[in-house]
Amino acid sequence: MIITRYVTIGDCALITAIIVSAVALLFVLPTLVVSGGTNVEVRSGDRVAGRYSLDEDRRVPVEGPLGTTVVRITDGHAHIESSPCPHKFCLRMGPVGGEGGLIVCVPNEVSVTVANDRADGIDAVSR
Amino acid sequence: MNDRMQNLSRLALLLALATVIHTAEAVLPITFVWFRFGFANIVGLSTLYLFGFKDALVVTIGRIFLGSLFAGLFGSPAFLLSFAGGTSSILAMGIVHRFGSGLFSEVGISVVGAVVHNVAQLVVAYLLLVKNPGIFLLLPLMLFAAAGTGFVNGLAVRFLVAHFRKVRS
Repeated sequence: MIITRYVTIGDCALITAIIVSAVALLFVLPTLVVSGGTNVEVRSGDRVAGRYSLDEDRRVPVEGPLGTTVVRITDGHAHIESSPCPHKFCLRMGPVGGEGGLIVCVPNEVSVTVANDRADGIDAVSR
Repeated sequence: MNDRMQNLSRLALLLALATVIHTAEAVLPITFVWFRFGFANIVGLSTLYLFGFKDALVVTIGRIFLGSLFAGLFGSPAFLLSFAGGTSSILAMGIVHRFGSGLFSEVGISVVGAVVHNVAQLVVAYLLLVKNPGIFLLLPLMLFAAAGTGFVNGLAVRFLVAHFRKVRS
């Protein structure tokens, strides 16, 4: 075989192993590396009412001037479940997830921020 | 005495060659070539084959210091990455060359060197610079690049070493 004039069987096995593991890592790494770390910050007025992980489902009641706004975290997303405000815009703002985002209920002064830890700009450029 | 002089000048020539290649590569635009070909390692690995590990270590570490001086990167993060990658790469290649040369040819050892170079750089970048585990998402891409560049460089080393031995004998 012509190919063995230039490379040994060991070389071929090595290169194959590297390419196979690279393909495998391509699928495995994202789940290993990027999980957790994304945080939900719930504020009432100037006060931080709590910080939570997007990974755990929970129901967070927050007190505001008008009453209790309920923030719900499910399936890696946070949304407002119920609010005493008149127009319910905050309910219609929908869920925010790990890509980062913000829900605000202006009348009840409640805000829900999802910090995006993954893509917070460039930390360093190097070559 | 004559022998030592010959060794010294040979080492100086190899180091100069490796430094020139290293520096030339450093000015390639990153937009087109997001990875390094590592052509300078052709000189390092050939030195390992022809003149032994000690000379290869001198050539590799020397070219990283000199190359980064020429490129104006000395002491920068890029230099740290280059240094970590180059040193661990030549160490790994030395070990594989010493114990596994029956199994791997120049091509295999070159691929080992390329992979170790990239992994070491990633680890150092994570520990010192970025501190975000997301950086390891680059690992598969760098492995592909390492397999490709390692293969090409390995073939080059093979031809170079064969030619050199033919000329010398």
